[in-house]
Amino acid sequence: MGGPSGTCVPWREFERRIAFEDVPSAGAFMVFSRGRDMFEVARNFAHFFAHESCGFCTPCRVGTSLLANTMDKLAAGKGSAYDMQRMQTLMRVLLSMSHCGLGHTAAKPVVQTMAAFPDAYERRLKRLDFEPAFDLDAALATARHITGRDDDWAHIVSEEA
Amino acid sequence: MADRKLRIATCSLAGCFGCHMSLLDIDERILELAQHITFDRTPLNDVKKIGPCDVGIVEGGVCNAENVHVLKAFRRNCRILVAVGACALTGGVPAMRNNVDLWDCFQEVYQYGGGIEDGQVPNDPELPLPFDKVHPVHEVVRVDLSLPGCPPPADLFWKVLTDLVAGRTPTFDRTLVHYD
Amino acid sequence: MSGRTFTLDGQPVPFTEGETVMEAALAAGVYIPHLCYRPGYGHHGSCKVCTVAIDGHNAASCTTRAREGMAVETATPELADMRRALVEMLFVEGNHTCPACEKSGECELQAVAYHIGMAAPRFDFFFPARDLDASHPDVILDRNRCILCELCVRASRDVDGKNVFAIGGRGIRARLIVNAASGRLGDTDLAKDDAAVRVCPVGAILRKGDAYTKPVGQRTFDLRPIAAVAIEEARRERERRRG
Repeated sequence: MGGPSGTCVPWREFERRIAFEDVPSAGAFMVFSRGRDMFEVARNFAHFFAHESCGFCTPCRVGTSLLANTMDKLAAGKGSAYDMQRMQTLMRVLLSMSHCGLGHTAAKPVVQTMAAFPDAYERRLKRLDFEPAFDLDAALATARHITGRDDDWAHIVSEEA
Repeated sequence: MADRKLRIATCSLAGCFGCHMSLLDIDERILELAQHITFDRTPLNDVKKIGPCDVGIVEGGVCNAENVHVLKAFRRNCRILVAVGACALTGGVPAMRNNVDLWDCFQEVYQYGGGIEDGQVPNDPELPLPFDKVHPVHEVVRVDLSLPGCPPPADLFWKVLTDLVAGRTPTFDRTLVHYD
Repeated sequence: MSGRTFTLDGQPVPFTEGETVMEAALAAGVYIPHLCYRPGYGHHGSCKVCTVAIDGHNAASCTTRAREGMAVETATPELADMRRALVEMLFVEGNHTCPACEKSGECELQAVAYHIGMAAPRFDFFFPARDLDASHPDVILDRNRCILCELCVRASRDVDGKNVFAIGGRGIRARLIVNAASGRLGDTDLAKDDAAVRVCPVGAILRKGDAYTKPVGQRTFDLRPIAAVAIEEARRERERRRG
């Protein structure tokens, strides 16, 4: 209900009322079919808020970008429980330290979809421990190109034992 | 505690060994420390291969493929991984190349820099291949403890190591923290 | 004195009408970490490091007026953790290489980070590409170290009357810009003794030739913690105002 910063009502709660006392709305709403991946919806909104942030205050300027980057990391299949923990911190800081309403509500789509659709997040976590955000082998590509090397030591095999 | 000595490994990735020098600056206290710890892989004893350890101390940022192999071996083998110094914590001085194109770096160093004649880019497989950017340790593996400083003062090494020997969780001591 | 008070972590703090929570706290000898606030300059409230809980709601203490009977909390574990995250954000947003910075030891970002107990940032670094402007004969502008506190913007506009600096761009791409057709510091009337140059809390705006005149180990925050320095600075500003 509302825009990207509105209230996410999953199908399990369809008996709720659009009313000031329950789910307030400024008049706008968006409907997502069950076929939609709500993680991707939240990731799109995270980028929307990073783009919309004016940059005046630290929590929103940096926090919205960090949140969008972390959602990208999860989308790329490199997420871990550690990232979920860091996102919780980001969301708390955005919610309670930002200067204006944009920052206060910027984390709402992530917070709410995380609560309503935990599976959408959990199946993207590669490991419980930790995974780098960047592709180690891809980060060597420029040097491989410059040196013309392609030997074993010029690569980093992921899932290295 | 103290029936068994704490097994410690150390390494320097993209660092200058200044943090190792600072560790040695605990001076004669190292004799007391030696009663409670034993060194696994470390440049101090020249052992090259790491085995299961209690504590791994990592100096320097991650700038090339070899750094990743060493760092991952440390993470796999060490119960507690300690990142030490500005380079390990933030990328530090080596990361100042992060906004210079890697190709420009190679050209400056191997081809057109002052005093170079007929320069060429080396391509020996023995040479570690550099990444596009230098990364702090915590962007590549999970880190348990961070000791800031360039280098972290000897007293900070002493405090943290004696805490770990005694089975205490090291706490943040404001008087021992300096980033420069 | 009107005899009005609010409580800060349970202790009564006196204030005069119109004073902010920050001003009253500093006058009472209580340090609340801050970066974009400076006694004597206009209230801004952008860094948010000084956020406190006022009657249960968070607000920047540098932009909130003190009111009779309000209950303010600053030394709570939640605020401590969030402040740490905030300062870590400032570190990962720019390129802050303390060992290679001549402001080290005089830098408020560094000193605040010591105060709040930051060992290392937990977030991934942005390593942004930012410009360095060395076109001015006496002043260097290194945007790598800028934390967008706008103290120089305020100082140049309100104290120097020159309007040399502004913020351009939005969001994570916001940058400190120079008010000249060329965009270069050398094409402005900025002088090395301007308040805009002195006020920079980090190493973004520096006077050329001043680097390393004071050895590392004997610099402001090597000798005294930022809490003492800030309380002292606020006292001097109050005395200056009283004349």
